Amino acid sequence: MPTRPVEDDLRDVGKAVAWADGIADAAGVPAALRNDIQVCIEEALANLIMHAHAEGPKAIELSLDADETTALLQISDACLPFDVATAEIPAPDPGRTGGAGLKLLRSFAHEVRYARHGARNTLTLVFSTEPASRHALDPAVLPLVRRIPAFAEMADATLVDLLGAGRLQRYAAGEKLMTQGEPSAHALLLLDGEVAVVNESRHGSAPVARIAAPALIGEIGALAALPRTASITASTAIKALAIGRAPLLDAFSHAPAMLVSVIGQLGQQIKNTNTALGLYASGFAALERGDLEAELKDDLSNPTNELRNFADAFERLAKRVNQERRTRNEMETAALIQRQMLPLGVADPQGRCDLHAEIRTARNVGGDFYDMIWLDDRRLALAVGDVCGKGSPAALFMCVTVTMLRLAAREELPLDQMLRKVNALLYEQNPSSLFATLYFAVLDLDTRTLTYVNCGHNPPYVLGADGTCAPVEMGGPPLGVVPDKLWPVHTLTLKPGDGLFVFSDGVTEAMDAEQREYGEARLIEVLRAHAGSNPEALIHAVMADVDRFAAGAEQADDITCLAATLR
Amino acid sequence: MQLTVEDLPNGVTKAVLVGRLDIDGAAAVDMRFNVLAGAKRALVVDLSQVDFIASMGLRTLMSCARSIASKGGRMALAGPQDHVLKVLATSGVQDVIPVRASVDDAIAYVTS
Repeated sequence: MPTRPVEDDLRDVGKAVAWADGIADAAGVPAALRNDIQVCIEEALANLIMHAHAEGPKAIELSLDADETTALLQISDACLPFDVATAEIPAPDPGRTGGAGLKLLRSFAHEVRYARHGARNTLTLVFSTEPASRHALDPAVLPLVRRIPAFAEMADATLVDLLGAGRLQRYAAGEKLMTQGEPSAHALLLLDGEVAVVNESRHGSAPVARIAAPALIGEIGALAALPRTASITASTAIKALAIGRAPLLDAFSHAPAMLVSVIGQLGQQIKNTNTALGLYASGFAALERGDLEAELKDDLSNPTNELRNFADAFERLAKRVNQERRTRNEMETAALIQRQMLPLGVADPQGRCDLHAEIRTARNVGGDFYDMIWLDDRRLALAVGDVCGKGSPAALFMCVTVTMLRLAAREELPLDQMLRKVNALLYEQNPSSLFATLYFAVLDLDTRTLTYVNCGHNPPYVLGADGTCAPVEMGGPPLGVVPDKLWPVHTLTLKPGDGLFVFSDGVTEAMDAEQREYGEARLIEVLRAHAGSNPEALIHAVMADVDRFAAGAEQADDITCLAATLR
Repeated sequence: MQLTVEDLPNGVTKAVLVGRLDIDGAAAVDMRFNVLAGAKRALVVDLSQVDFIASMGLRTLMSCARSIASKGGRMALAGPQDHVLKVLATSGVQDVIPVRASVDDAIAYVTS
């Protein structure tokens, strides 16, 4: 449909009218009709430019489509809503010099329709040279209409009467022919064009079917006087006959075959409904398996208008199920990567110490990690860290961190230089601005010295054989936050029976159902109570105590413990 | 839009409009119509050569007619083409400003 923007300036109206008249002239529209069209365009545009209010630009557009007998004019704008089709016409007033526009427009156009779409008004005006029913009786229409099953067997006279009772209507693409929920007073016999059947609900509009001419639509509603069960929107320009209930009933009484055809169509619709319900049930089952939000389940279990909402509810449901599945796969992959990165168990072949580490990942993969690496046959590197964030990016950052630590640890650099290097690398190659806390220690099993650096990690505890329990120092920012940093290196000398307990904040920040934290005090109590236990027993005691405290509450963060005890 | 003004005997003034009395046309002759409205008491507007009229043009004619009527004068429209007459009739302007088939009939009205 040819369209032209119209400036918000009266001086552009004449040009817009000339543009439209050029189209009408080229299409062979008779002169009298062309005059009416020009008058209406001037009235509508002048009214918009002089009187309409808009919050932004009026963005007026003029469209015209025409043939020898008919012209379809559309004027759309972004002004505040104004329904030209039903607005009150001011009473004639000899004192007034204006105000005739609305009256002229509604008198000159054969059909006036108004619609509001989003922030735009659309005024549709139809001009025609012929009375509606005469056009319908064009002999060429009969063979076309007979292609519709309901009319295939109908006697000529009955069909001619029925069509003669119809009123020819034209719609532009995008116009609404029927509105869901409105009373049905007529059926539409589509003669030309294609429409979309649209289900409307509080979730939005969902197209459910397309119907091309020739077709009879809305007849069941019209016959049964039911509200429209769906909206009908023009996908293309439409030519249709609107046929009222009375002529439809009259035609039925003369043509039982039409009744059979309508019953058949009803049967098909019931079948479609059953199919929809079947899909709905399967979708619901998938939803249950997918462990989705309770609210959505509730919405679907107790639908207020299940069939109306079916299309979009199912679409939403399928989207959610698939999204959940994708997320779950991603999580599982991330968790797998994470688990495979971490050592299962390390033992000292010379029996100088006992070691154990465990990680319990939260439902959404967290970023905890630990590591135990032999640097040579007497020095053991121990690491526990926590990457900020969750999901795949955090898991991958964790892998990078662990890999860099392993490579750097073997370079025989002093601890502070080693971590400076790892930090610089993590800082550089870190598009998502992730960071990791890290406690990194080297335990010399021959000298029993513990050399360590703490990069923003919660302080581990040094466990004395005598039951003492002392936190080590905090020390500076996490890895990956600042470009260059030398963390202080600390050294401790341990005695036989002393141990080290390193953990992530998932332990002390574990929550119970009332959102209370487990806390340091409870941890220290358990550590003291299990002084002298081997690392595995100690870690199991801590985790069991955390579990008792949480009492089944789901934890948001990973829980990681690493313990080493000297013999 | 062209406007030619001619003074006839008996104090009658004939204004002949030629062209489209659309928004642009109305804007072009508005000022001169105001002058006519202020100065004349018997005005005949020959519309026979007007090809188009819509409400902005009607407003020009109505405004002029109101001024003349307020001084006790008379104004008539003469010889509109069918489609112009349709606009005059539909808008109700015909009920306020008498429309006559010819200039002579219109002169007869304004001098009666």
